[in-house]
Amino acid sequence: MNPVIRLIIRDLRATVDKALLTVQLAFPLLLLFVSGFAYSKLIQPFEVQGRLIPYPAFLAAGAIILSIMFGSILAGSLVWVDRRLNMFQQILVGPFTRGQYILSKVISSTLVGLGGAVIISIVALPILRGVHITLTSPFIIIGTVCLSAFLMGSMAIVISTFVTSEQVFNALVNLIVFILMFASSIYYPAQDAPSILRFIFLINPLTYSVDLLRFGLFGMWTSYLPYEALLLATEGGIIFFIAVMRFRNISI
Amino acid sequence: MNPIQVSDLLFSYGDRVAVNNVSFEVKKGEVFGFLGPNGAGKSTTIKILTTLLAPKHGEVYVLGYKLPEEGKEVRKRIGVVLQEASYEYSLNVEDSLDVYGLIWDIPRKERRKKINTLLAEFDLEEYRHTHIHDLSIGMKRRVQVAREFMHDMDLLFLDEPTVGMDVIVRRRTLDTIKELASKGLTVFFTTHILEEADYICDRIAVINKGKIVAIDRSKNLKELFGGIRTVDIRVDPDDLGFVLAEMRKLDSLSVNVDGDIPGRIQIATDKPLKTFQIITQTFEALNIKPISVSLEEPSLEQVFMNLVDKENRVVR
Repeated sequence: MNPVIRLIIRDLRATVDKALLTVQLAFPLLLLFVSGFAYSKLIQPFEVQGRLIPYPAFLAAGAIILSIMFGSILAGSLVWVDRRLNMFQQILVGPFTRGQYILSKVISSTLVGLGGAVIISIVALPILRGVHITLTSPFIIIGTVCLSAFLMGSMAIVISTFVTSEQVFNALVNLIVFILMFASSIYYPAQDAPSILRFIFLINPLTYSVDLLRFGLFGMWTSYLPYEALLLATEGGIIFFIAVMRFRNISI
Repeated sequence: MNPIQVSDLLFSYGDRVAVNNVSFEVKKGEVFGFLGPNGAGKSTTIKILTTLLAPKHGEVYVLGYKLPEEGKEVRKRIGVVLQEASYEYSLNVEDSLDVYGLIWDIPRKERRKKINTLLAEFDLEEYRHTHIHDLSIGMKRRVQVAREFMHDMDLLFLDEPTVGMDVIVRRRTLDTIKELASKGLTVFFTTHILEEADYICDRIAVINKGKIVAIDRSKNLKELFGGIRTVDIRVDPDDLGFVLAEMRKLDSLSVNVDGDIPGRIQIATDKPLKTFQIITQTFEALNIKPISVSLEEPSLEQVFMNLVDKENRVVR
């Protein structure tokens, strides 16, 4: 069996905390049902290609990406769990390379994120009105979800290599999640925001993920989309490369 | 080529030299003890040999592969029991062994077999379904050592493997390791319990301040660095007075009488053979037969203190 697959199975069997998986779904669900329905009284449905999209459905795409983000961030905490329990060293003296180790963490967290996304999607089905699925939609949705998870997982791993304790890691990740979440198009479309805010939105990879997913689900096209797709893939690759480089020099 | 071949190895953390031009080799099927005080360079050496750190200078070959270039090949063929406890706390003993076997790519059927064998060998059968976090420190350590045998290896690194184990379990673990070594497994062993090293190691290296200060068989180390030794003589308590009077005439002997055991004389000496000759001549001259004459072996601890503590005190 491939070494990366063996490490992924280990993660899913031994390292991923099942309670954490439940908790990671809580926030996207709250966003979906509390924010979605609370704001829907204030925000009117809007029209995309002749179809009316209600605000809870608009927010659902954000909730799916959020569940992926929370799952992917797990990659960083998986590394910390391994370091705390000394399994990090134990694995690195085994038949693996550091690159394989990182890749396994990113894929494990991607799988957890995807699992969360599937659950959120199923729960959100009744409110996903105005969905317009074409032949290309599944590819766009799956591609977006996977690339987003890959990028965010790599980002979490890079962060984990810079900090010196699990507590700092958790605090830093909470801060970054908060910034990424509110400075993105999860709650509101980027093109309608004031110019400074729009700039911040557009350097935030979460915006690319949400916009691409909305395109896949509702056909919401913006002129930024091709660049966003390119940026998502490029940033994912670059951040993963940085993660590998950082890991090569990590002190043991 | 020997399983471990190290020449002029140097490693430093910034300005602090941790391992200073160290050279040694470990032969196939040998249990090689690597002893030293805290901070002597043991862990750094092990980290280099197990590919966690890259040497700054010198040549290191493990199982014929050059480090760090061929580290991946080395890692496939070594087993490592780290000094630190390393577990997946969410698993029970059986699952812990199973997951470890899985990451070493052992087929499921073989894993089942090995788990049963190891649980029996390490006397862990009754803890099969106990969660790791519910085990005592010694038990956890036993699982950690047992777990390493889930996969085959040519060279095993044991970094203080018996920490926290009770005497019986410790002896059983050491015997298991000894038995495996007798079948051809090479073992690199570190410990702070020197009787343990004396019991299990074929050869011992003592490292201090990053340098190897002695390397030999335990017996030879004791002879070379054991320092003052004690000749223990038992005579009939009625003859004690005559013997003492004769021996005290000789300036070359440092004679002590054990007040607790009647008829016991102890002579401290750094030249045991010569002392034996003098004692024999003395008894012949008195025409008295001793009940017993024996030479107390210096302990490995004494060797260690002579090699390490004296040097460190001088520096201090």
